[in-house]
Amino acid sequence: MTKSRERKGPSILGIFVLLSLLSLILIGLAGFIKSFARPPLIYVILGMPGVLLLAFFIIRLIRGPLRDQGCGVIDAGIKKQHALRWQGLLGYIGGGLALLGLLVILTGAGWGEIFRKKQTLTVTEGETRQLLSNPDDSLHLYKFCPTFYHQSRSANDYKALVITLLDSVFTWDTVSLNSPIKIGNRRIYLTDCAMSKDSLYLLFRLVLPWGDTIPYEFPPEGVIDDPRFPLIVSFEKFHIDRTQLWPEPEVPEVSINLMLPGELLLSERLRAPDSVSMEDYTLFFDGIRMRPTVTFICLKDDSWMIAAAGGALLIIGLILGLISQAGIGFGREDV
Amino acid sequence: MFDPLTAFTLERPLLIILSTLYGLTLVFYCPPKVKTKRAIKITGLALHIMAVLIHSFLLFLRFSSTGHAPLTGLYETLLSISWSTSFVFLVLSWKRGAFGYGRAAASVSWAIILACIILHVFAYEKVVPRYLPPILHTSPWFELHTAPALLAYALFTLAFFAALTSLGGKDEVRPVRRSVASFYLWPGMILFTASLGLGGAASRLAWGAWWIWNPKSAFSLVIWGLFFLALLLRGEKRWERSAFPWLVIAGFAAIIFTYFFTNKGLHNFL
Repeated sequence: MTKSRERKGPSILGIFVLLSLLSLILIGLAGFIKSFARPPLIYVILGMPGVLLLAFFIIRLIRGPLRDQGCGVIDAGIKKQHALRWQGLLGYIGGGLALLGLLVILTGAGWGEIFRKKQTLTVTEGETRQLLSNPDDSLHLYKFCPTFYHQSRSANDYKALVITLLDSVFTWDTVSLNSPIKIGNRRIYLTDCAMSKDSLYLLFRLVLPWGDTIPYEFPPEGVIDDPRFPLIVSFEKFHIDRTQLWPEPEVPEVSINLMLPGELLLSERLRAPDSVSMEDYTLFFDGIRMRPTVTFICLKDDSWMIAAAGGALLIIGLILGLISQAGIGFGREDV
Repeated sequence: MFDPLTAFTLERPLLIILSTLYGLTLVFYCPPKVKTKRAIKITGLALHIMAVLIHSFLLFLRFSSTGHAPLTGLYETLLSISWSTSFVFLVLSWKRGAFGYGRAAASVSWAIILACIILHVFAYEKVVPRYLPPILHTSPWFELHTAPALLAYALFTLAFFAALTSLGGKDEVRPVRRSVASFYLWPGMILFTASLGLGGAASRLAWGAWWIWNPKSAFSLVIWGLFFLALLLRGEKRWERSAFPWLVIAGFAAIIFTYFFTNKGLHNFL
């Protein structure tokens, strides 16, 4: 019996699979080398193992599970040959499913590469950007807010309140990390955030005579871009908006050399626009605020469903293979 | 639950106890040629079980001090791989010919625990609990993706030792060792494939892409391809004796390379 199993010469099917998997391994290596930039030809190259695996799968399917007994579609002369496979009916089905799963995943990758529509948006708080090249669709970043670990300055999540205009419908949504919003067949992901010195604002708090406070934000006139002191910002002067309040007899010009957040900036008798009387107003410097710049990804992609189906087939195939191997003691009959 | 500071303070003494237990296990797994060999090995097994139980408690302490599963950074992944190696050995030691690899499992766990003690003494900043980055903290897939990968690494490690020993020894034991390698490789491949799939799910939820070409995921494809090839060649009489063990060894070398030299971004284990 053992004599009939021995065979001279290479198996065509074996070479198919070997070439396919070696190609996959080489692609992995290529991907590793070029992983810092997405290799554009990777999916084109993926076609080679895909075609080879498909050929192997079809031939394997035709030959049937009982080919060793001469019951396959191909004639009994082939029964001496050993295609790469796992023993038994379960092993046959498992091997087939695993290879099919691999093919489906590769198909999903190709499908995604051809039909995926992806747009990366960098939006500063208060700005609006157009979505996926459609002039009617847009995304407005209304507010961005990080949340923090308990008693810590380390962020544990980012949340953004956005207003989207998609297919002529306005929607308010909160996007956070790992919680994309889905509108139609598009998904919007929040992926990153950054603070830029270009979006720096100075915060002031005006205390009115009757106790109420009004916050103000002004862009600075100058910023020291010194990496040794990243949080120190300088500015020379600013003006309070005349529509809110103006002084008597003229607009105050405040010069500041060095101020810390919370310090008193100004305490003067000023006149409100709708009043003739002078009253005491107090102005505090409250610090600086950077308007966050948030990176969103707007995506239209169905290839994940194909890949997930392929992954499920692959796992099922491997489990069946494991069961088939367990049935024969993982090759214990060789002993 | 322990408060974080107490939990962290207990780690170092527990590591010393663990290194002693794993060391003793190793001694008992390699008995001299005496009549009581079986009794000595059973004592070794009992010590190994005790070590794994204490190791599980140590992982629980780490969970208490960090607030997340111990699966990030060099120290935590080393602790988890060490535990996984001994755990999977104990769970799968019923297989004929597999018990002998208790020495390999205990050696790996012992060496890694010693490395953890060295980190405690000389690289304290690697050991201090850290917060998870926001993208991992909010991901429901983080533990589901990483835990199977580390368990798979442990299984591949044992498969490597079985494949390596199958290259030597008497002719009648070599097939047994290859079958032990295959025995570890199968569940390892299932877990590793599941981990890649779950990583894809995590990546899709975070960035919309189910595959990202970063160094670790790209090299994971290489590992997967090598082991899948090994499993296919295992059924081929001509290649299973020559190619199978070498492919398993190459796969393990790829794992070592992946673990130490492909650390970037969220996949940074160092």
